[in-house]
Amino acid sequence: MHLFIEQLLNGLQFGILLFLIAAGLTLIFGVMDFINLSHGSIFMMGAYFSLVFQRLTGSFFIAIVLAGIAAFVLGVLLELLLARRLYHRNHLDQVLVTFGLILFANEAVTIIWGTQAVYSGLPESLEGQLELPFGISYPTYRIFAIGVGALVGLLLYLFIQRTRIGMLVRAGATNRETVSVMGVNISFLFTIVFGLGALLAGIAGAVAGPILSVQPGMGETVLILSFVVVVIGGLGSIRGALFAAMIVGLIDTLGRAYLRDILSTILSPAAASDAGPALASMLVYILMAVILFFKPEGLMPIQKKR
Amino acid sequence: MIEAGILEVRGAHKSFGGIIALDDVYLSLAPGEVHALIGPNGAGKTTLVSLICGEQELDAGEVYINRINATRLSVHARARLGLSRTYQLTQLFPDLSVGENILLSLVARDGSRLRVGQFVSERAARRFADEISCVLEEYALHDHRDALPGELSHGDRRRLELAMAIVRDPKILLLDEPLAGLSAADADALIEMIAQKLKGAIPILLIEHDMDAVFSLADTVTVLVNGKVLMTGRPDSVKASKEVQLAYLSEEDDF
Amino acid sequence: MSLRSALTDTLFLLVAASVGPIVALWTGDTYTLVTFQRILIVAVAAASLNMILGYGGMVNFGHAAFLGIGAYAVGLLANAGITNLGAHIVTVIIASGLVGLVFGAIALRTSSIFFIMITLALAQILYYLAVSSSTFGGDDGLVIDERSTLGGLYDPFDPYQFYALVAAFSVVLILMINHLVRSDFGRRLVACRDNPVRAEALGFNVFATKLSAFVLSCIFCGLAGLLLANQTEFASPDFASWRRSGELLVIVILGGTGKLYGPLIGAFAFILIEHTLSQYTTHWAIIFGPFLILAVLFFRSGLAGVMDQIFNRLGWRVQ
Repeated sequence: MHLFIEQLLNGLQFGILLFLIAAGLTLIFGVMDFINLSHGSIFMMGAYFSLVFQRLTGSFFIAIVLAGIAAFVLGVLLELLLARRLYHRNHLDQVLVTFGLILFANEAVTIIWGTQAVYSGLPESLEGQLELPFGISYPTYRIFAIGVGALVGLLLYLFIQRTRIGMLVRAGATNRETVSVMGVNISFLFTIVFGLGALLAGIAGAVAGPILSVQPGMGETVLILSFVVVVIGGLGSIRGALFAAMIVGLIDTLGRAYLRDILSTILSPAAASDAGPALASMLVYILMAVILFFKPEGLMPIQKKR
Repeated sequence: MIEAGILEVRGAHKSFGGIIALDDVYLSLAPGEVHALIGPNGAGKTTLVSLICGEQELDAGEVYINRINATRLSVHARARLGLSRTYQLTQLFPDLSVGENILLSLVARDGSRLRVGQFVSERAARRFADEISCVLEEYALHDHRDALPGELSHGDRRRLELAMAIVRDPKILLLDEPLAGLSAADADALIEMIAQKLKGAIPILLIEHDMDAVFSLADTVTVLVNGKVLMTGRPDSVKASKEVQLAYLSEEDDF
Repeated sequence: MSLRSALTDTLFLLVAASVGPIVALWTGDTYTLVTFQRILIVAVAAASLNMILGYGGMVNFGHAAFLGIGAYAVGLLANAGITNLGAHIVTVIIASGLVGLVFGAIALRTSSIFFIMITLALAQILYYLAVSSSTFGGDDGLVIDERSTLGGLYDPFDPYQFYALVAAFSVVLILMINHLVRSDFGRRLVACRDNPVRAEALGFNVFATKLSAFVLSCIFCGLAGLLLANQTEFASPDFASWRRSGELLVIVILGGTGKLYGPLIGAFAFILIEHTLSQYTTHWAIIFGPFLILAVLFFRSGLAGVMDQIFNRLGWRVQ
């Protein structure tokens, strides 16, 4: 039972991480109709930035904040130099350009930091286990990661619900025309949204660094999973992304933990230990295919107005 | 049952999230007639057309095309029963030449089903070459055979779409606001063409705003108001109807 | 007209296929044949993608999965002692056709960005199947002991004879793809891409047309995978990875989307660029990434488009 709760927490932690990345992706898609493969690279850069800043400042916490800011700047530059040339192009062009960015980013990181995973210790306060109620002990750092994710998610919610820019973002996601008619400086809005998405991905990368291994290409698995989240949740829908991220995080984690045991009740142990891990890593993709088969628009599509 | 029409809508009902768009609509298109569907904006004409063509599904009621129950059939299956149409916003193949647009329609006439032979054969273009020339000649498009639809004038595009709808030899022709956006001269030419060439030869369901065109072409007029059929009858009796005048007058009040 | 285009195609492909042996004879280095084999194989895969991308408007971001299916099918058969090429071909056609049918039926319910992402996700299912199942050799992939045989008619381990087989196979496949694109079916496919509303109103079944094209394209890509497995004597999960799918898209775009010779030209350009750059640096991607970005931004008609312009200026008409 304790183990199960631990796995649930792992799933929650993974889900929150996915949400931070998927929220940016879905915002950028919802407001600008832009498909951004390089979002995973920004996640990766967040992790590396955090390492650099930790060495410079000596503080893990300041490093996370600085990594977020650096990712924001990177996102803004990306929007100004590249993305805005592609809004009126088709999705294929956007895929290819951002694919080119991935190639570039991975190789640049390899040249600077090498292919080996880099690790730069946790502050003492985050090491070890935390005793939770009911006699459950759980790694402190993962609790911290859940906390940071929840905090950032809450700030995002307040930003979108309570600020003027947030209002425009909401309006832009449901009705692009209105926003441009409203006489808002639309290109400024786009830059902000892109930067915001990058900020979220950067913080996610900085926080995930100590859990995943920081190395070239680390963003890609996460990117594809975030795509799954975005698509399941419904393109452009942040609420959908949150919901789907939790589902994907939990199913992926629990599948990896328990699928083999479940299968061994119906299959031979050998077959189960072969099929278990395979099925576990395919599970979320199968889930996505099934959901899209019945609901091609995702679970919580936003109502687009023409 | 009394004599069934070539196109029948029986008891059509459709609502969108609580708002009733069509309520118990009956419509019957007799062989050979031009049947006009009119009504103020928002009366449900567009909804009725998309239900007839199969773009949307009915909540209740039935659609018969060529006396076959088509209520649950897809758009292409209904087209195969002989339903052919033009759109309010002209629908052509923008990346194919005018000649190839016609070609595809001729191909569709000779069988729109996918057959194994089509994967092997590349003969359609040559087989229909002469026929395409004839069609282009007939619709005064012969100077534009190799042009893309985007390069044509609005009137030419309308004629091309009409040609595509007609050459596939339909049993029923549905014209959705064919005069919209045309210049007066183009509109007159089109009315003339429909009257000369099509009236009597193919049963036509005509959705049109231009009342002069409606009353000069139609044999029967159905008036749709607020999702209900207000009346169906001969053009002169519709013209004389107090109720119809009231419906249109109240619309003008809105504007 | 059709005979002439078939002859032009054949001539063009034979010239392309003979570059390899000429270079090999010239330099006396038979190893260069391997590079040119790869070009032809990749050209087949790219041509199969171009068929649905350029003419059907379907951005399949998981196309490389079918390279994987072809490769693993050959690997499993060969390692079970079945090396006959005919048996390999039939198996690959059935396997990639069936998987293509399922993937297509799911993906074609959606469109635009959803289509891109769902094809990516479906391909990931196969990728992870290969990575995590011991039947398929897991992470390490599958070493293939024997190349496909033709009943002793040729020696699969003689470099020139093997090149001839790969070249002949590729040329035939590309000719078939080109023929399909030009066929009556191909015109229907373009019509369904161009305006599905009009196509349906004419009585064309858009879904069935697109699905047929999708399945055929998957089969052709599967057969490219068969060749790839023979060439590398290996089946790796990497064949089916999303980066490979991305590369295939890049090759199609680089060559020119919706141009008959685009994929072949794109394959030559891509592999030769990769080959040349990687001689100078292992970090060739740092040059290729920006190159790709610039190519998409400023060079959208692709190499085939440029060649069209040159030929047109010379007064020739291609395609």
